[in-house]
Amino acid sequence: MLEWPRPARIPPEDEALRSEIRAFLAEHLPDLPADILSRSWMGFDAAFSRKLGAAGWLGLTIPSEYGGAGRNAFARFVVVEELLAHGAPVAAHWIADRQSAPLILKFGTEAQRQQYIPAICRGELYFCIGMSEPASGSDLASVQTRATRNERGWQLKGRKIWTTMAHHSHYMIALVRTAGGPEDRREGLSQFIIDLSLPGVTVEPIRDLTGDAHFNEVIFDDVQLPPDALIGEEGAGWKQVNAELAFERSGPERILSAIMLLECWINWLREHGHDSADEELAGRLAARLAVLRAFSMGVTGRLAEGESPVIEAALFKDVGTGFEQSLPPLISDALGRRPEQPLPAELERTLVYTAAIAPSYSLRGGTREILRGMVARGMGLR
Amino acid sequence: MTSLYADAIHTLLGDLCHSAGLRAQQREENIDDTWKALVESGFLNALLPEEAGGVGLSLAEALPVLQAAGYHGLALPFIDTLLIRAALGIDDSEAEQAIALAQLDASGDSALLLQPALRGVQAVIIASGEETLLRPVTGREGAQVSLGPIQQRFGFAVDKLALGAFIESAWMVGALQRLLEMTVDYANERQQFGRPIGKFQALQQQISVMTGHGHSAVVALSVAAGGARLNEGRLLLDPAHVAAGRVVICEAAQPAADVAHAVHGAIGVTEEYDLQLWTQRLLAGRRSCGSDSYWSRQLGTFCLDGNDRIYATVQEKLAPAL
Repeated sequence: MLEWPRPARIPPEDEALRSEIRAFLAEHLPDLPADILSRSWMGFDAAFSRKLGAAGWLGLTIPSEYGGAGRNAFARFVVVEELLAHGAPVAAHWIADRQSAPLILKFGTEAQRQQYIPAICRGELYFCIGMSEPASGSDLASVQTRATRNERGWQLKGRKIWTTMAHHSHYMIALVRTAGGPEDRREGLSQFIIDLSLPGVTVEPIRDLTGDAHFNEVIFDDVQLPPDALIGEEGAGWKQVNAELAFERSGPERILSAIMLLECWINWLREHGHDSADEELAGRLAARLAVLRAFSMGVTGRLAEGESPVIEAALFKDVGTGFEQSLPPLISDALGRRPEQPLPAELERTLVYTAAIAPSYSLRGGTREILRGMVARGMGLR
Repeated sequence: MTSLYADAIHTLLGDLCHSAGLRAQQREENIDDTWKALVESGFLNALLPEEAGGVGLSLAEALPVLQAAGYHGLALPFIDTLLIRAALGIDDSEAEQAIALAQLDASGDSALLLQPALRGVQAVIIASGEETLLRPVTGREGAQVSLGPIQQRFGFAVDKLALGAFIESAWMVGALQRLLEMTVDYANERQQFGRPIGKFQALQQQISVMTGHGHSAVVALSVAAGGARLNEGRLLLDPAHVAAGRVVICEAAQPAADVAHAVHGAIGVTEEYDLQLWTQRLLAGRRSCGSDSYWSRQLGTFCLDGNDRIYATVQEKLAPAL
């Protein structure tokens, strides 16, 4: 059985960051319509990321000697929560700040830390994560992209797909095979930091159903990597990838993907009046959101205590993304109860965008079905 | 410290609420002995300040103790008495009756219990204008209780519905925890096609969904307890927090009971097997003291009446208790 959730409070010194980041957002958040703000962690704005870095809002959990703030998981929770709740365009630095810098800090050499982490904390260096391949989705251990050792380092051949923001990133941290074959499963996999400007790398954006190009196919045609492209231990790639999953799956980004739509709808109700069905729905959604936020704070508390609650994070992500995905259909139905009332264009565009992209919420970062299998195992089944 | 209290109440309730004991409670047999054991445990004063002879736990600290009642399926008004004593400031110098919440009917001599599933109710509190009255129960027919003369007057009103919604929710959360454990255990024990049924992905996915409801409900109770404070030594709940927690707990009831029954198969719908003791009360609990629809509308009106972003309302007015 999984341990039952323990509530956690955000420590006052971390809560104190909230008014500061809100003030920063009031001054620097680009003045954009709600449907553009809805992109949030799919919204690329390098200038905004650099402003965040200059103000000290990136690398919050990174030690100060590498340019971070040396704080705990709650400090990052507060700042990320405010950025996402306001729809800030955070895609440029998002992966680098959330995953790449902590990974390099944990597994990198001192030279690698110095090379990458300070620039990530300044909001200048962007990363993507190379996991899926054309024939490897949920079955990640079956990746076929291969790095072979040679006299100049490593030669990389293969391809990655569905790589978010690769077309805007300087580097990719990829999971590739360095020994054995697919039958060796989790053995023989390693992680590499790949400079995407090297000869032989081709990044081809893939247009998504909203018309955006947020993900890509990345082709490695005998790319020569230097020896220090390897991050961490050769052959320990699987273990390294899994070490960060609790961070990736437990944050407020798993409940806030459709928040701009909810805020837009609430504003519309305030302007145009509401009936009992609207009030009931608004209350249900507020209740679920309040509980999910407390859920995320509880998992964050365990991260702050140095635990690695991977199963709890998977459970939270399943429930949280289910909530996010419920917003477009519920709000769509609520709006449609008044067929005679025209919708403002901004609300309409926000609804159309969010409804279209919502299926991705339970795909990115591990599919719902895989997560539920993990939870079942954590409950003692299998 | 809290876990010591939780361990103690689990030991006590485990002794009182074995399979035959729960059935005896339903028939109101030997109920005085059961209540006496709860009185002697001292837990009825868990929320009262130490200077009033209580234990001085905060509501957040007491949650594991409250959940234990639902976990063990206790039918007596243990959570009710504990919270009513705290809300009215009844210290242990008063008679330690089993108290529940009720709504006076037109006759003035009888009332309807807000939680009809309770057994062994010895007294009720009812509203009377700006006062709250404690009256003994002299007889019972279904949810209707006949009342004796006023035993005690309190010169203030109590938000009975919010209090009752919190009490019933705490019981339901304990029940959801128990149902999840029973369901996982059964899935690991029951063999079909030559292996435990918990090996099948179809059931694993359902139990994982049920786990999400159970864990959300535990978190929801800490949200319901948020904003609770002491006013002149008396416990006061915040209706918006109670609403938010209660909605999620009520929403969990049906899907969790559905999975529990699906996994248990035919044995789960027998009288003899204990599962039904929890599922029936859990489903009834959803409509006691306001269902999710009722509390959603209250909370929705609260959110829409303000001018804040809805997420700011969640952050600032619906944070969990600790």
